[in-house]
Amino acid sequence: MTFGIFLQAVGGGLANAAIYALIAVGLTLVFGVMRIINFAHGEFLMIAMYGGYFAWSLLGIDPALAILLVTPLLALTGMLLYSTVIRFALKVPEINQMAVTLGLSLLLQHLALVFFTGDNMLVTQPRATAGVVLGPVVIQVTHLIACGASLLLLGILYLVLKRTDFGLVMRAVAQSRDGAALSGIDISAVYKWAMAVGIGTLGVTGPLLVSILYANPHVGALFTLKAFVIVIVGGLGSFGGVLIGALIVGLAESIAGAWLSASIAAAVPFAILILVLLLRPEGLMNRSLAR
Amino acid sequence: MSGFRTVLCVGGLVVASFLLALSDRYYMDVFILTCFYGTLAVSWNLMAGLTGLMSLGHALFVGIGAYSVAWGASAQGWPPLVTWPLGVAIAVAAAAIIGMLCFRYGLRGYFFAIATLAFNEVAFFSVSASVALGRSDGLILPTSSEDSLLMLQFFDKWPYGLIIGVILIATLAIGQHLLTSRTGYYWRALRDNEEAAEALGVNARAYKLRCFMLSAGISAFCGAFYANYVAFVDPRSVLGIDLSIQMLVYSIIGGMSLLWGPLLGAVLLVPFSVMLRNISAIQGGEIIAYAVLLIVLALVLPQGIAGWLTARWRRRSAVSRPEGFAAPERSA
Amino acid sequence: MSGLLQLRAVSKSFGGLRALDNVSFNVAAGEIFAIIGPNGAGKTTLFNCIAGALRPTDGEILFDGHRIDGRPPHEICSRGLVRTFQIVKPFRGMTVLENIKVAAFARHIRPRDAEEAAGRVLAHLGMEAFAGIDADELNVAQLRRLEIARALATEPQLLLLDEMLAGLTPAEATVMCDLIRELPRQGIAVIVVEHSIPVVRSLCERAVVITFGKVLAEGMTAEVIADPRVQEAYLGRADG
Repeated sequence: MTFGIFLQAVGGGLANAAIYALIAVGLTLVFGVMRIINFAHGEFLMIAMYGGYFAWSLLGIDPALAILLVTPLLALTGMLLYSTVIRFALKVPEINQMAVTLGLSLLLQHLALVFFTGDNMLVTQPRATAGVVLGPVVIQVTHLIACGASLLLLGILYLVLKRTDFGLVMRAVAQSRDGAALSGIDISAVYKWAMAVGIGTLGVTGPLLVSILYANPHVGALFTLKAFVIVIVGGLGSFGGVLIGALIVGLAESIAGAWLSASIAAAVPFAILILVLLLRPEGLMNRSLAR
Repeated sequence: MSGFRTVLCVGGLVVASFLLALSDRYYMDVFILTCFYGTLAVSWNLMAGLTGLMSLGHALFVGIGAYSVAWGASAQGWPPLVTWPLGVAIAVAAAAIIGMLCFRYGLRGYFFAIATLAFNEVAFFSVSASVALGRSDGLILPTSSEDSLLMLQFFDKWPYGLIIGVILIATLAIGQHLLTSRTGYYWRALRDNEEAAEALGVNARAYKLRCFMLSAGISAFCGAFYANYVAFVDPRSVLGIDLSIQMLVYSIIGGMSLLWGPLLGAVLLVPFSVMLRNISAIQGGEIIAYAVLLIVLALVLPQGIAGWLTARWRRRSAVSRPEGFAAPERSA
Repeated sequence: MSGLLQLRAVSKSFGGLRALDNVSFNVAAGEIFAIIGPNGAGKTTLFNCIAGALRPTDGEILFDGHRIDGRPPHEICSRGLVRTFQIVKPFRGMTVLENIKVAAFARHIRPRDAEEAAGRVLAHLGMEAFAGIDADELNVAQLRRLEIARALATEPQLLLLDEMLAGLTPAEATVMCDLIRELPRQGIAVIVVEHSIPVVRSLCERAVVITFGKVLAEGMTAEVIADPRVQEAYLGRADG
């Protein structure tokens, strides 16, 4: 592998990392606040991708603008999901919680199969084939836009969490649910908003991704798994951890892909996950116990 | 809990179903599939429902069994007498290694589940990349036009039905025996409260490992059977997450706290889905029904259908609860 | 100095915090011994070190002549040292009899023997009527009794009781104390971690007082309680 190819892999990996980070941040937020892992997380990304695609193919809206449409819809979906399903799931044992969100994942995948068929769909625009040259590295425009939007949103989310009352309340509930309840915080409202944000963020990534990747009913599953890896590597519930985890996964995957084959590259995130689970299950950033 | 009698009844039902299914190739196929998924689900549930270890990567062991047989037959010409034990041995060894790693670090709950999933995915991608194992296209087992007992190759379906029926009954018998023994009590204690169990003399790591290895071995057996029955294996059919999720679905719907609960789930859902697949115009329609059923039951009836039935039956023959308690016996 | 349980210079640090510092004392076979001290003194840490839930940073713990510090809890139990939990930990998916059977399996391999042994413990504690009741239907006092029943079913030589009276009514507490008082007669020594001085005075022959992770006094209960340093440590909590 020449240095040029290595740099290209690094560049691509970094761009991917930003996108992965945005996808994973919703998962970690929901876990941090509600202590539930949503196995159907990727399916909402899939829905957002289809949303972006149809906005383009039926309404002629540029995917970047479709974000403004898809994101609120997805945030509402998150709230609805909480009110109808997740609210009850929080009361049953962990194994049943897993069953509920796994069932949801299955359900959404197959509903998508019924409504959208199994065909792959891609948004094709003239700018899709254009590339931006940054020194020895070439990055596709669509990729760059997705990366940029992810970083922007991550920044906004960070500010919201650290600087606003809304974010403060969420962090309080994440740290101590009972303490927050005793302080007069309406826990179920916080949960609803956590889901709204957690799923809503996918509304930004989805439309942008569908210019880069094919959308099909099963595309969500792979992202869910990758998001898991990132979230666990970085530490469940940790925002900074998501960034680190995404960097590690994005880079490792990209470099492995350039150096070995694509199939091996697909296994790399899981190998990293196994290592982390065995050596430091609480994640790299998190000091709270995972067990 | 007259568990042994229940297993006898279930065994009897299995035999009766087999005899009924002899009349038609189609019914026999349904019988075989039901027994296959039933055995898998029961073995999965030995870990999840009885010991509290939820594995989302159990397809790994099915795949090991299936691929050992498929590769052994196609690349080496080995008969099932060689490849079946080989597959089971590899699966049990894999479970031992994965288990030792996971339990040494005290992985539980979500983390154990995701760790098993990760191992499964690594295997999935590794096999998909391996030329010797047929990559994504899979392996076809060599077949001849003649029936062969040695190679477990039959034109009729009923010999396969017989084999899987026996495997199912054996699994139930083994499970029942273990349940009433020290091992079974220790497993349930680990499920209910690991810390208390350890304080009362249960070697948590050793017993969890035992459960994992047994469950893996049975799953590999099923995988080996699958390879000889279908004569074709590929990553999606034997190493995919879908398989692991199916085990979960049947167990939750049937009932996780009983040995035969998952079998009930399989009996209810497998024939139903085969039927739906044939009459439904909607592709994947039966899976949508499953998924809804799974969500609803996981929330509303966490003990599953079998658990619910058993609880109602127990309530009818309930003993009244005593008030207070007697003073302790004075020693002489 | 020998004894059934011997602690020699046991220390435990959590990072920079020294929770136990050079703790030494002995417990003889067949006696009822108390570990007392104000809250946060390190009693729980000490308890957990003896029971195998924590590994001491320094020092040795010997039981019946064998070192048990740092050994896993199940091994310590099989040697004859068993503990109960202050926040009760019943096996909720099982009946009372099954709960005790689990413990009985520590000494009996065959299910029939274990069931008989469990039955004997139930009878001894007056709980036969509860045998088929699910553990999650019991109240606190009954659950405490189940904790002890389970521990006794492991046929221990030494029983560690962690705040067994917390949450009990005076009547229930009296019954519990009577139960504990009987144990040495069956050859079981007891270590009690307790807050209440009157209980300790009536129940235990010897005691050790722990403050700030160190041994403040050790000896006959009455003397230890009368010790001015101990009274000062409790800030007048001891009633003269």
